[in-house]
Amino acid sequence: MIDIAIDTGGTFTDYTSVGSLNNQKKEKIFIKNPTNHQNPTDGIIEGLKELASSWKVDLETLLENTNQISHGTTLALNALIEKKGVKTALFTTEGFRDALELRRSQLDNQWDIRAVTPPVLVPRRLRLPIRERIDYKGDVITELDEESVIKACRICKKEKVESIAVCFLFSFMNSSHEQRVRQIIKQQLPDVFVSLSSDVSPQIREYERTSTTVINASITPIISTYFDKLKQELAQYGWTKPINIMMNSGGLSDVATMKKIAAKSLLSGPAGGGVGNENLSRILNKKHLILADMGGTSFDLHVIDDNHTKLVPESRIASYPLTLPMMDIHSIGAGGGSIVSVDDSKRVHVGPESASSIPGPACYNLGGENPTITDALLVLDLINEENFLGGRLKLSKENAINAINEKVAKPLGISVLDASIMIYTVASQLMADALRLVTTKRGNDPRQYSLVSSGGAFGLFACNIMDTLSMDEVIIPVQGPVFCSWGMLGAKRRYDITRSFFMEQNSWDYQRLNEAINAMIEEADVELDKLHVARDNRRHELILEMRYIGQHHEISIELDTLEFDNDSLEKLNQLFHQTHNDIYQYCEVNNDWEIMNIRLASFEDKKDNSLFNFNDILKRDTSQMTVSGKIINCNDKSTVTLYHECDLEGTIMGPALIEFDYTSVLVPCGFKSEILDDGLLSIKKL
Amino acid sequence: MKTDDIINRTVITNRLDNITEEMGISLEHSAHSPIFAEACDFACCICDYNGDLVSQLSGIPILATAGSFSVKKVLEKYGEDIHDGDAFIINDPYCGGNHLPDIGIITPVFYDDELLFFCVSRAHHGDIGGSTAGSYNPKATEIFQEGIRIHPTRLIQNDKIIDDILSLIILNTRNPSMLKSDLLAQIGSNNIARKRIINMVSEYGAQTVKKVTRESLKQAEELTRKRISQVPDGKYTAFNYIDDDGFQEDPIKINVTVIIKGDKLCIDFTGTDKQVKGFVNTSVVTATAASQIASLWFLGSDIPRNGGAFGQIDVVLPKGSLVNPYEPAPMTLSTLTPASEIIGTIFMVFNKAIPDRLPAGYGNYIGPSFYGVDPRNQRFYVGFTFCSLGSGGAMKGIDGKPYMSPMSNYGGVKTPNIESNEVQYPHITLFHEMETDTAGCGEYRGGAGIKYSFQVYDDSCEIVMFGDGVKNPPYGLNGGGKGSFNKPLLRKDNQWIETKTKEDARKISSGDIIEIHSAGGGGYGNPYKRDAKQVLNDYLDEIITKESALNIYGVKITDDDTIDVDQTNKIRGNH
Repeated sequence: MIDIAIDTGGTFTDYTSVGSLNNQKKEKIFIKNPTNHQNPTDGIIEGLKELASSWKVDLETLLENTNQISHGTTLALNALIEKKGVKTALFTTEGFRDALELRRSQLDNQWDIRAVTPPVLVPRRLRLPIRERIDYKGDVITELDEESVIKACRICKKEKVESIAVCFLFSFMNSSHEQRVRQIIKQQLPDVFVSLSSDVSPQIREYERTSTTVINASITPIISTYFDKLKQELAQYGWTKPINIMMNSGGLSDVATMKKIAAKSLLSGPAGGGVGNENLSRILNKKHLILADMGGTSFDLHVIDDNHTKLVPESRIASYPLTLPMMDIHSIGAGGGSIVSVDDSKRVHVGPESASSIPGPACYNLGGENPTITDALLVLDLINEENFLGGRLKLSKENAINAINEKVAKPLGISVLDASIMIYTVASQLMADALRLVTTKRGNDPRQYSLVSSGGAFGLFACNIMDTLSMDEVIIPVQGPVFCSWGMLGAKRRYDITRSFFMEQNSWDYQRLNEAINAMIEEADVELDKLHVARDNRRHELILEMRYIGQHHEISIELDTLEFDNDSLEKLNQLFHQTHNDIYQYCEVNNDWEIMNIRLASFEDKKDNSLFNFNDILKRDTSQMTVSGKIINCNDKSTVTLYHECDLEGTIMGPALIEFDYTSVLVPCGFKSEILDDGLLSIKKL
Repeated sequence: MKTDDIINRTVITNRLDNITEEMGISLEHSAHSPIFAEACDFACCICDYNGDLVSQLSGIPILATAGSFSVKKVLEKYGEDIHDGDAFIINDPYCGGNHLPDIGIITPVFYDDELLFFCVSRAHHGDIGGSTAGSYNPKATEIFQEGIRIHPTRLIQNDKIIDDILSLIILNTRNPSMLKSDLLAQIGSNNIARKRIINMVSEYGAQTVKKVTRESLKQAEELTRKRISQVPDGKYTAFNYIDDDGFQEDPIKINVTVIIKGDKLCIDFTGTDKQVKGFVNTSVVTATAASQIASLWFLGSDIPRNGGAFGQIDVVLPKGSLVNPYEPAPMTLSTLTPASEIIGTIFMVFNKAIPDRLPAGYGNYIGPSFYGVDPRNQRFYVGFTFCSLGSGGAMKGIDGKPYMSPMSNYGGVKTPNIESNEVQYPHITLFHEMETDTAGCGEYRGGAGIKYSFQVYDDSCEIVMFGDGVKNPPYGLNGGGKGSFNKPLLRKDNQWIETKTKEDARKISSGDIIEIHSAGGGGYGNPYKRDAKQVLNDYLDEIITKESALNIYGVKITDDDTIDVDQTNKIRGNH
């Protein structure tokens, strides 16, 4: 049987598949196809047909032999960024309808007096007051006034609202009012989608919770429609099994969950990369890995420490807060399309503005006038005019030269070649700084890590960056260009719960804690049943969010147990003070702490995913080319050897350029590349 | 060579910015005092060995340049006697501080025995002693009543805290254990930065790093001068008023003259009123910082905010005036009211030099600090009212931003959530929304003011009301209307009273209600020119009433909420 993963990105949709047809030899096949933005379902079906033909069968046969389909998509993210969500209203506690617009009075850049804040997702006339109030303990102070709900529904009907977010103060302590409001809305407006904050993100801080709920309300109907249609279309080709959906957390869920909380799929693509990184770390038995993915607009990093990966409880997407557990993907605005500029003080900036794919870098010849990293790479002959994106786009070197000359070389008074070298180096350093930030920020030494290069243009930078950070090794997996979808093949079905739970050190009661945890485990087990995860193939992991009494932010304490007893207090005590000291460079062992939240992650325990192999069908055609020496640690112009994926036997000494489908890897002077395993290169310094 | 220099400069300046960002995250997340853990009322920066600011965290604007003043005072006092493993503490506004509640911790960074940098964290602490809890004391007439005063003092030697100094400081405050925890958080944050800087220097070499930081200062200096030279030469003047000082009722005048000659810019406060009895006097640090950040807002968002840029703004502060008082005048409110009035007045002046670059008037701050023993857990608490922030003024092309005043804090304060407040304090919030018909009218309108009210359920509670803006509303520009007034109300024993803006501590009983109406921002341009559709939206959004739409904006809205185009054209055509 075959497993298939589909990752719909902004430019391309990637398909990976592993398994055997009719008990034949096991094969691993991936393809890349342009994303169909007009009609995403058609795009997927076409892509799957192409995948089927790579397996030399038709789609029906492929699906007949398919065990599972996992799918990640950027659809939700695009809907949010392009403000294409459905018309949404917000029901709030009376007297508190402006949290979204007041934004906790924060600005991203307070030095720019003209800066405007991003548009409020729900206009004030659709932020409707409901009379009710619950206090910080969860006690009802003002009973729910059902008349005010009916009145609000009437306005929604008149305004043709398609979705309603409900967010009341302290609903995370007592959700009864929100639940009752949903019942009323369902009676009054049966066709309108409803999202409750107590379902989506039951935790303190109403601005962030409201934002999360509203984002969810505005995108879920769109995602729902898409998945329904996709299910229908696939059914026509015989697929009636569930579709697994990739979530921000790196776990898989089902269509039913997405139809309630599509916000869980906002970052599903990069999350697939994170899971892939975890897989790789297990397969290679490497404790410390950093996955680097350089796309068109951003540079994404994912870190594994001690074979271990962490979720972050909160992040910002398109400048809106989102409080759902996410894989810790660190992203900076340095992709191939990042615009290079020189400001009045002659400081060189690379990104965060991007030329995107339209008009794209100057060399795309689609009207873009700003120089980008891709333009510099072209001038430096590191990418091929004819063979960009597998030959799908012909590049114009002339345009690249002109743009760099006008916007960078002239203002700095240097040559176009020097300017391009400078862009290359500044971009390398930006990425190196981002790498440093994701490691040293947590007190970790970048030198312990191996750097995984996953496709795009990153292979051209990887060795230089590794050298800057004194890292030991760059690892190049052949499935790099489809790394996120490869990761999805190995993703586990998963369910996360966060619960507010207050307990101070001096009122330590392990039985109360155990009861709360057991209730969460029970809930998780029911959800994993729905996802068809076998009872004997499950794992639960527990995190307590704790702080010193009087602090306002918690730190996550990971535990290796699900049950506490009399001796646990001392262990937890030590663990907390030590972790606090590691993070903040101080601790106060005489001060008491408190527990604020319990987090439980429940997932499939075992799941295999294997590496892809080098393509050995093509014939050898090693050739020579000339590139600027500075990029490859040599003097002046230097000759490098050009290799292809099929030539990769034994050791390759730098300087060399290795071309794969959709990506290239630069091996500078003083470096050598070796085959680590079939489908995996390791580049190290000599 | 040249290319390498550019690369080094970019990498090293980016790295320093990363480090200050990391300091900020660590402080926000590990601090105890809600004023800096929830509201982020702090600043982190790195200065070079001369005390010049080379990198600072984006945060509270008025704190931007303050770190550099403190470091320079430490250098002045200790000179050669600064060693690896030291750290210094400072808050004295007469010697490098901005106001007493902001305590600075300064950690020198050495590499191979050479002093290269100072890491500075400066944070607003909940209580620093003095005669009222919370350290805002509107009835103080001398700085001694405002809290403990710390001249630049060595707090750490050989990486060990000097306990005598620490206990001397914390025992003069109402919550010693919280202050201690938060000073430890500041020290920890500086140490994170110190480690990272040393790593960086070991990578690039001290000479390169020094060269690069000097160059980046130089570059900012040149850009600032270039921008100044693009402003027409001349002498421009404007003035504005602070309502009162809490003792006498007369307004206090701030008079600003900006003199531009070639690439030189001077801000002269001659003509500003004499120093006053109450705590609205301004420290030299705050008056200078306010002048410098106001000027850079005018000169361009792309100028790096470092010592090279700030140093190009000359400031003249007449001795004995409100902006440079003789000791021991009180001045705790200086970072809010006077700082914001100074910025607003300077904006008025610059609008005369080149119009339309800066916004109309922003709201002033008003709200109480409060303290007591929380009946829920018997712990002492002290807090500040952040949720009463007012709103911003409009500028050409852009409506004013709500909840973004005063200018001294512009976009840098993170106001706490209502839920966090209610867990933290014995309060129940009754209302927190924008208020109808408070925004200054105009082609572009001001942000609407906020109504914020909360009930206290603690019989031990006292409040101290402080702020301004009940007599002088935010100004309009170019035909735009003024914003609304601040209005502080109190319901005590079932009776509503309007409080003064600068009051002594008041006893509160459980059930009493505090209700603050904060100012809407000033408007820009003729309201009759506002897009009628926008006027309709403002009406539908309850930012304005139907009557205001008609009487102020000249837009007739029908009974079924559409624009009566004929009537509207008729009314608007007649003007």
